Amino acid sequence: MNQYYPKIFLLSCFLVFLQLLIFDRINLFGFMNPSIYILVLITYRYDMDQFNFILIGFLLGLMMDILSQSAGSHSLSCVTISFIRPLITKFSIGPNYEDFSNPISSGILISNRVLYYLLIIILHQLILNSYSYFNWIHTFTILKLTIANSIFTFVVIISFINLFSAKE
Amino acid sequence: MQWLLSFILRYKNLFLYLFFVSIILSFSYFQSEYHKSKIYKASIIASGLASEPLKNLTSYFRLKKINAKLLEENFHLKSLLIDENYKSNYEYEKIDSPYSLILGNVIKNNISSNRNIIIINKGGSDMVEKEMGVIGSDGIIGIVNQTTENFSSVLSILHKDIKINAKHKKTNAFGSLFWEGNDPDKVTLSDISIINKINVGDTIVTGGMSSYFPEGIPIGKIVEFKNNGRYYLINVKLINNMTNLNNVYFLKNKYKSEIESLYK
Repeated sequence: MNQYYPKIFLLSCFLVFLQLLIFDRINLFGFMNPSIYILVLITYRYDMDQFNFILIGFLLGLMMDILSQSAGSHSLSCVTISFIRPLITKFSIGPNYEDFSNPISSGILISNRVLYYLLIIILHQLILNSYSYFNWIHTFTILKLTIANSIFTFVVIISFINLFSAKE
Repeated sequence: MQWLLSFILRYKNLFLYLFFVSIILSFSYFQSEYHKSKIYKASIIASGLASEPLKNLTSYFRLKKINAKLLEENFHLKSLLIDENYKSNYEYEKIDSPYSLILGNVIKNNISSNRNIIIINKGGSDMVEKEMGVIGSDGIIGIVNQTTENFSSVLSILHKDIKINAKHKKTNAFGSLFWEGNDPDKVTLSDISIINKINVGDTIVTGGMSSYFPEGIPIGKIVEFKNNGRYYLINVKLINNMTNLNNVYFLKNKYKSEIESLYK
């Protein structure tokens, strides 16, 4: 179990660099960029401590913020997601979600898993864009970016998960 | 102490989250000018919302103190006004006003009879003497009738036996002011000669011929007037509301006894 955190750390660093070097430069249709780094938040095991999870969320977001020179929107969205993830999980998978230690375990119904991914992705995008724009005038832009980026992120993340699952 | 510790441990995730959010907010504050202005604006609104009820609450408890301070300020300003008013009547000589003020508080006021008397909480020990003039915040109130150690009784302007020297402000025509005993806000001015031109709405002020009041303290405004052959009979509406008096000022004239000795 103690080896899990170095793994998470390495995964985080890898995903952040991947995000900054590749996925932030896609600009599909001029504005769509997937947030691949939240794979860390999605795949963090259920049987691990949530206190550490919030800490990881914060460090992940801070890393993104510092390297992409944004004003704290990544940190806020990551910390919030890591804080409310038990609620999201309870809502999407059910109250007995702790029976599964791994969020990408094949024992979870595919519909529940999709709902779980979607909720995390959409909420993350919503908080990220709302905090970046931080103005009611830009509500339409925030919604547009949230929906478009969520779909794109979902597609990329599902491909990633399937890629790694196939390897296993 | 233990319950505090267990409380913190129970909600440690929430506390950690809030701690990080505050760090993120401060990070945004220093990182981005846009977020800085937004956070600053939000903090102003929040502090405004929080401080206003608090201020309302505390200001309620400070009212008494504020009131006392305002009274003191009013007293000072009134003294200055009387002084200036007096000086302006003597443009060519420099004369200091002989009047000084003593602040008092009405403790009993009557308007129901023909001869109304006001009791005030200042008496002989506060240098209040018989036959001093009494003014209110806007105009004249009456004349001191009797004093005891701590109280004094004042013949209200609404007293049938009192007559006050008054003048028409525009023409300086003198007359005599008295109350007929009807409305508590109306008095009558008589003995103004018809050679003077007067209008409804003109101001009536004290004449300064008596030693009770200095010249030029407002009394009221003309509501209607009748031509009585040689003199006008003028109905004057008082500026002071005699039914809700609270703080009054005694006018102490330091030359009063000197002037009165000449009448004898």
